[in-house]
Amino acid sequence: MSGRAMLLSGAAAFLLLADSPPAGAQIFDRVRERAEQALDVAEKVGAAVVPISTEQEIEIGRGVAATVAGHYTLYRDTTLTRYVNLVGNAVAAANPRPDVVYRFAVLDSDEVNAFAAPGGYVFVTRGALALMEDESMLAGVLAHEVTHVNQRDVIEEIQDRARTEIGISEAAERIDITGEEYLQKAIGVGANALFMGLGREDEIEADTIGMRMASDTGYDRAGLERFVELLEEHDDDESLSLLEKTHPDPDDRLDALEDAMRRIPLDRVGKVMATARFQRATGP
Amino acid sequence: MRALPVMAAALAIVAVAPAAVAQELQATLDARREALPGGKRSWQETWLVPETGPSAPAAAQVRKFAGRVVAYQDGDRERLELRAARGNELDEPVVVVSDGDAYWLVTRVGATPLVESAKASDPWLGMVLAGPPGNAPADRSVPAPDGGVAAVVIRSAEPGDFDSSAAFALKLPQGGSGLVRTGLAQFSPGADPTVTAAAGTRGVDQVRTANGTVSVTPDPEAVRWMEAQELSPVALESFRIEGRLKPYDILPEEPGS
Repeated sequence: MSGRAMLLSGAAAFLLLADSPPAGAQIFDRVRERAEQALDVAEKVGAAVVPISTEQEIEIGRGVAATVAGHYTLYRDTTLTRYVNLVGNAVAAANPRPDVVYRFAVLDSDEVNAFAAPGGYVFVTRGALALMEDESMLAGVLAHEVTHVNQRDVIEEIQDRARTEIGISEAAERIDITGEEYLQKAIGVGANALFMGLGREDEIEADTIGMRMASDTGYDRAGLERFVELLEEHDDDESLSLLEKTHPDPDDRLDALEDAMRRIPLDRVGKVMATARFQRATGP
Repeated sequence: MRALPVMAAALAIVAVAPAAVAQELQATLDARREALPGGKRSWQETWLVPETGPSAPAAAQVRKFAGRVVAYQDGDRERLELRAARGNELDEPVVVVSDGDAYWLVTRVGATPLVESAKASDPWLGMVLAGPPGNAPADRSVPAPDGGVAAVVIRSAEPGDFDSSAAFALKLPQGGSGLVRTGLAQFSPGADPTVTAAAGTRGVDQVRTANGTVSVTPDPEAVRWMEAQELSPVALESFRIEGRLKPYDILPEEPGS
């Protein structure tokens, strides 16, 4: 017997036991009808979660990355890019997704920000690097972005948008997820999500998981916390205006980080700050 | 300098008669099997050698990444995958499997008894097999004949389960050694193969930002540039060693660092 049939017969049996046969038969029909309706809705809600494969995620990610690199400009310094890739891949190795390649690049902008496009394309601005003081801060920021990739936060945003814009009952039938039109829309939604900001919960989660990843890699667990403190100190700077609008209040982030940091066993706490190496890589 | 010649020199192994080599290796394997603890586990060893010369006066001077061993054990069965650093890349793995009775060298064309194979005289393989199996200390130094340190071995447990039927099979997966190349992940339930998108890069010409809607000219060439910035596994490992990131945080700090 299918799960659906079991549920329906279970509900009916309960009502038959509770009532006299004639009344029970009527209620049985009514309950059966309502249960059918409820199950139909539940099935459609499930079907409306538009599946996005890793291949599609990477293709969407490339489009979003092209948009980010078009909005800013890529800072094509191979030495600096290599350094950022080394730090990023070192932290990503603490909790890697086996199906993506993580790629890191620097954006030529004084703005302080970092972005994670789906499929492993991660950006940090030159302005953010200039604000940082050591490698553990960079590790914390990149681990935060890697967590967005690992949690598929932007992809979930695209899926949510598909569901709400098209409607629960029609989504599964109307969306050709292999089509060019859908892909282009998904890239647009993904790019908007990066520039408008992800949800508060996603950001706090990326902070706490990212902090732990950086610590597991061996970096000072307080690297990200110290960077968020710098954001708070510079909150009047124009270069932070977009970041402030797209991320939770630094006080909230610091509270969550403090709480998460306390939970790391002392024998697993990372301590590396690599200040000299960071300054060599980012200095003149 | 390449890693393997350094290790070979460190051992100062001279050419010996094949029979003697086989005998010596068999003794090593017998001792290893005796020492093998029960249970199921996997671990990874990173081998470091001196930057120059066959030995260094102290472990603190042994920092060059020479290769990696991934090991899987379930009861009396074992699988070892050895990948030596060669330039910026890692060599194809040398795969050794014990079925509980004997150790086999697993190649593309089948399995051959390890003691009878050409690898029987491989100095690194000899050092790996002579090392402690199972729950060994996290790190150890391998002494050189001159009294110095020939290698430093750092061991860490691999998280997650693995599929014993695949790990201890006496043949490589179809298609060559590709499945063993990435180590544990490929034996773990639910692991996906690496995928890449083949289609062209797109973008959108308008985005909504928290500061308003702005026009954008997508830059697909920038994405291709990002993808061209490849990072070799050896470069990444050397970076981790230099920064004393985990598991290299147990290495002593170099003077002046």
